[in-house]
Amino acid sequence: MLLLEVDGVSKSFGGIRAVDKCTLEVEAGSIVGLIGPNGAGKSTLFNLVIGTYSPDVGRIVFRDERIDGMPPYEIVERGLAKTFQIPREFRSLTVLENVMVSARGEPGESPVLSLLGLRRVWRREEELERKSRDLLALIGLSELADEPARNLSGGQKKLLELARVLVMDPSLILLDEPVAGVNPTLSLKILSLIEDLRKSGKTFFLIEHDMNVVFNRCDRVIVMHQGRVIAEGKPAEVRAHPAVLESYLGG
Amino acid sequence: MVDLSLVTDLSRAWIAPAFIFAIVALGLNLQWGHAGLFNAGVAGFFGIGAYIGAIFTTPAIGPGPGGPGHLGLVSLFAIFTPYTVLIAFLVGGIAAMVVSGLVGLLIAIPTLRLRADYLAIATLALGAIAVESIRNSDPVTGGVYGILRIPRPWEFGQDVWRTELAYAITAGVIVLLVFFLIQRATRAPWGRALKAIREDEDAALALGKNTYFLKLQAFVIGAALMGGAGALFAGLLRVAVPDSFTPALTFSIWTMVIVGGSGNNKGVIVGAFALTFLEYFTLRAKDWFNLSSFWDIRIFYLRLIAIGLLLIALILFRPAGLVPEPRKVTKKPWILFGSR
Repeated sequence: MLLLEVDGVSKSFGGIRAVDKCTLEVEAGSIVGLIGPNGAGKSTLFNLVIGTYSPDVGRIVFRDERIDGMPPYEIVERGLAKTFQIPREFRSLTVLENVMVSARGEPGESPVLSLLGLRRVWRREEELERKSRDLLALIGLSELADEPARNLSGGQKKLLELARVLVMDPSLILLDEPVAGVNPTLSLKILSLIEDLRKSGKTFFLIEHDMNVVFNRCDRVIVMHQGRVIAEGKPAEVRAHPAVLESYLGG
Repeated sequence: MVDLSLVTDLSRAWIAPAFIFAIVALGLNLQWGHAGLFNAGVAGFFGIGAYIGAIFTTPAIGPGPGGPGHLGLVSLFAIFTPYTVLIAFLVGGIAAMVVSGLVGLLIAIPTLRLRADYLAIATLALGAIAVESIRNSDPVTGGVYGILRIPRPWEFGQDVWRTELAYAITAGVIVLLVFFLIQRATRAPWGRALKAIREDEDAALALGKNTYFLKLQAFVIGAALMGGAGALFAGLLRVAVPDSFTPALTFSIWTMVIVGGSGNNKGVIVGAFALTFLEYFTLRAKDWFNLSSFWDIRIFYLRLIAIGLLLIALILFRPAGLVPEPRKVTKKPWILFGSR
């Protein structure tokens, strides 16, 4: 089943065509890698999918529904989530609050409902806190739950990014360099977490420059260059593709 | 025996203004401290509220110098005699909140979609436009003469101290109510989402928050609070004149928020009391310490210098304010409806 379809999408900034008639697909339940040289348009493509930018032309379809041009909160509501390449934690909120604030559709985020003090609003909040603490335990940040997020190390902030998207319970998760700048043991931990989550039915679409990760963990690999998709297929096929060797992997 | 003139003076010149400015500071704190929205036109929202309140409560006087004609809407509430003024005061206060809130909405709708700077510019302009519009709308606002003889709900004739104390208590009760509501809403997930926007709006957007709508809510509620406080202020002074609502007032409120502790609802009330006390002190110091007439004018400028020094000292030694923002935002409040 196709979960995400990007069809002929272009996006220009001034004179630069960051994404140029890009077409690709992501199957439900797979881990798809997106690679390509710096400036190939990978992060821009992610931002187009999540709605931070809207495409100049082209269609983006998620679960048989067009999502291009929708604001991000409507796209997130439909089960998509994205992490940032450089962690964007809410610095003065605690680690736990960073996770909790990311949840979708909290009734207490309405000023009226929060004032009324309805029991069900706070029951939701209690459930959310439990779920968020479980996620923090999963990524090993339980000890730091009540620390302001600015006190975390770079790698811990990457983990926090992951917990923030997982709390949304998305079906498709876009990860922008999930293990860049993370030490090897932590990186293995993140990757096995992704593998476990995929088994539980989640789909991953990830940008990564670590070719070990891409070729060993992904089911399919898509290669972008100058805003276009130049190759795609199984890791072994992509690795041998002449255009990929020339523009990215090197001989 | 307590010196009743001191009660009168303290109530009128320190406590009541402190409570009223505390409401404005709570409104600005909601906008800036919680949601990170820069409002440079606080005095405008406050002034609009003051005039709306005054128009509702003040009887019509014939046109002429010192007694300009205005709408005299208070006669609408004559059926509630002897509670005419009280009802007019309540309706005026609510109308002040609604109108200031609507003005806030009109400014926020186009500017909150843009970069943060545009809101600052638009509110700065509003502050100027509001005062000039008031100054030049003689039939409604009395122009430069303003609206005079604004009544209050509780008057005790010769017992001036009672009248003043009653008004200060009224303002205090309203502060308590506003504080309770704001504290509750900002400790709820709503306040947490606002702080996320303040910290990193793009990230909040990408995480699926409707940042525009959340910012709009915070800005409009803040503006409405400023308007309501304005109506109370008109009743306190018993006159509404355009010169009360200059940018200097906006600056004062900002100082209260920063000194008290931006992001902390208790802190900004402390800030309001501290700054109004400084003003009260400079008004009365001459009498208390038998200062010579040399200080008459100078002490007011010394106050401005003192405020400047206070701000510098604070930024150096206590940048988060007297009562810093709490570390954890979300707190479980009392459950009002529904059983456990």
